Amino acid sequence: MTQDALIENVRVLDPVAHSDRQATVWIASGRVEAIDPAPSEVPGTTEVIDGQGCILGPALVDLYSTLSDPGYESRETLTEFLDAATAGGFGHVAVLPHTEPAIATPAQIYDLHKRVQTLQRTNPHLAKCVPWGSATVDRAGKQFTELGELRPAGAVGFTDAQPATDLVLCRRLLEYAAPLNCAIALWAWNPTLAGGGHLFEGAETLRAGLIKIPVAAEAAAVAGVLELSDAHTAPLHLMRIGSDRAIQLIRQGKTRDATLTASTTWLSLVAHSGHITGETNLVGSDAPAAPYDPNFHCYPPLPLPHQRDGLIQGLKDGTLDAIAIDHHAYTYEEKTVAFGEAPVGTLGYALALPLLWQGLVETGELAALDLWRVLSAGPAGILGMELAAIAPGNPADLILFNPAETWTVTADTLKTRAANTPWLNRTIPGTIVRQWRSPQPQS
Amino acid sequence: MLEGGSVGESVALDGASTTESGGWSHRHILSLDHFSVQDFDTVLQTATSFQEVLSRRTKKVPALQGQLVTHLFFEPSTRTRSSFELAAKRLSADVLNFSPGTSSLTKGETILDTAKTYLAMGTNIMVIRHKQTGVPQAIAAEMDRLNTGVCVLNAGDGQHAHPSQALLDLYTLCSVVDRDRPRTDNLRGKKIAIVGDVLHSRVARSNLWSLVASGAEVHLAGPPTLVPQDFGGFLGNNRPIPIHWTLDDALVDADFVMTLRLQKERMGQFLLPSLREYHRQFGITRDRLKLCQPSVKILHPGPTNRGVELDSDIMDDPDLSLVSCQVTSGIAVRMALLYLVGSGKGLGT
Repeated sequence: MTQDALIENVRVLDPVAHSDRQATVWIASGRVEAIDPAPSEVPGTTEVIDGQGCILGPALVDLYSTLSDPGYESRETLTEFLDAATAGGFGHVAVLPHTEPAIATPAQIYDLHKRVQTLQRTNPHLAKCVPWGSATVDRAGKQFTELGELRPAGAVGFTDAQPATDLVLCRRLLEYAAPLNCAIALWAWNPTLAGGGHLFEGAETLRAGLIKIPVAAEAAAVAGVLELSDAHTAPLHLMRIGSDRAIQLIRQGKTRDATLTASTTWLSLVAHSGHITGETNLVGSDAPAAPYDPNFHCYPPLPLPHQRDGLIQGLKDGTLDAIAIDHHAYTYEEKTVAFGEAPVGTLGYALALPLLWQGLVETGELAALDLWRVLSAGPAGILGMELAAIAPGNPADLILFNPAETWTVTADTLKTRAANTPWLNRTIPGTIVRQWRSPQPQS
Repeated sequence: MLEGGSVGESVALDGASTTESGGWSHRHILSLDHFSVQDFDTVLQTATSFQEVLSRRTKKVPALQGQLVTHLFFEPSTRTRSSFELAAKRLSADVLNFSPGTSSLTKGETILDTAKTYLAMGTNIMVIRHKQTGVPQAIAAEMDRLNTGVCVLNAGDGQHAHPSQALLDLYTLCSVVDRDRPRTDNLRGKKIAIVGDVLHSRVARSNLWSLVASGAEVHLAGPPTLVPQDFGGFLGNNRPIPIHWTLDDALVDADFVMTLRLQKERMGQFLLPSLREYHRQFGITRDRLKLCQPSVKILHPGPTNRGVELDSDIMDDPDLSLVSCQVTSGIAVRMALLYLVGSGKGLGT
């Protein structure tokens, strides 16, 4: 991955420099040696890669996903989790405190770092892994964890990744964490209003025979949480945004609070209610998923088609700062149940970039640079990381992506024992051709 | 001619034979949204033939002799299962019954494991009911993926679909108009009011597909919490369905009134104040029926909450109530469905 290479005639997407251009890029010793070098500058031993039709961009950054190890190793181990992320072109992944026990003490963070470092000794190109700290003990919403201790130990921010129903807790958390210089991620969701539903309300939901969720289950919660943050609190991040109404509220909220950020999940952008009923072909495939595939049961719920349009508009105008992968592995037996009884969540790492590219860029719904921004610089900013521009002398944490080259989604190519995705056994376009990692961590 | 003879040769089943050339293409019957008018008519014609069989002294034909029909009722049911079981037995099929009380579902077995167990026993047709939407579809997809040739009939999934109930309702309605030759055309221009808890009703959803395809003018009525405005777009924007939050507008000049069962737990969910208020606002009474056509008939999928959805004496009035006819029609219609998929006609999708 760190071999020196000259990538000729490649489309370079650089969300840091806000540029989308054709160039020839010379990478040497894990750094960008030169852009469009004169042929005489490049040693003859350097590997030459034809970049025609390919994209060169920063390695991707995942804002949040679920690591199942420790606690649920039968779903996915740490090694598999990081292998899957690496296969998907991710250079950094931030994990939610969904492990058992939850990441709630400095010792647990040190342990995670130690385990990752051990893995990286055998595979130095493995994605780097940083944790969100648990905001409350056991994520039970009763008592704060030792936030001031966890932050210097390596917590990139704090969240319980549970519906934010206790507004007193949320307000105190935003206040207390103000000096800690990190984001507080809240999932604005009212489970009482949601009532165990499956899809936002609409004729499509009634036709599908699924239980409807009032949009207010998200919008009312977003409106409430937005009132809790201001210039004196820790930066608020709203995660798992799924409705167009929430987008409107966040757009308004950003005019008052410049530190406010928000994210949706990749699956909300490549699938909608029509994919659940099997009416619509899967993105990247010429066939639909099996009807009522439990792997489409997730939060936020898959949008109705018009809501997906609202999410895309939110990405375009910057209301949404990031697309999170929210990768969540499950065993076969956990997911082989009725749609409504399936645990929420789905795999995402190896699939997200290829399918987002097919579903948004190839269709002309989102500019390529915008997509790369919300998959790299956007989440990096929320995590307090700084990505380097693709410029001479800068670290080369880069991936080369061929949107046209196809591959078949199997356990082998997903790099994990988990197989909970509607795309299993489909052949889809979009392959990570090569990856480069800089020798020194950036953060 | 059916007695002891081959069903396929029967004059009584000319309808099905015609269909064979017309192209019955459903391996499974999971919902009615993809049914053509011709499909509905095929079911009606085939059911008519079986209704005739059921009027004979010997009510059994060998159409599915040697075939195994398994009833996978993950959700408890007595009426629908009994109806399907009798239909299968009238067609001379062997029958197995599965119910959750006797299952291994609580021991870690998945729904597909259960289906595959019965597949391994040689099941040809699975009749499936589940409280969650999508289970019959998931099992049908797995049966197809394994290339088993097994046919799946949806006997009710979540709030989604109950095709056999809607088809027996269709048969009942069409038979009222023309007893000898029930066909979809009988309903063209007829006003049908569906009243009650539409939101939670898989029966109403399936009825909408079959009745509107038949040319009926369907109106929905009930409180806004149980008949949300979004139902107006249920069939798509080009086929809007009138929604009424007061009963009288729906009843004016109605030819048929289909009432739906009201689950008593709806009060605890803030969907209704009380059964009393529901009955006063949406209960079917003789007084209210004066708004309808003089020949109006009432249907209910059962079981009925007497005095809630409709007055008790209406239910027992043979001049008004088609409830018993629905139950009777159910056997012939389910025989038709089992026959159409099980006799090799449903080899397409």
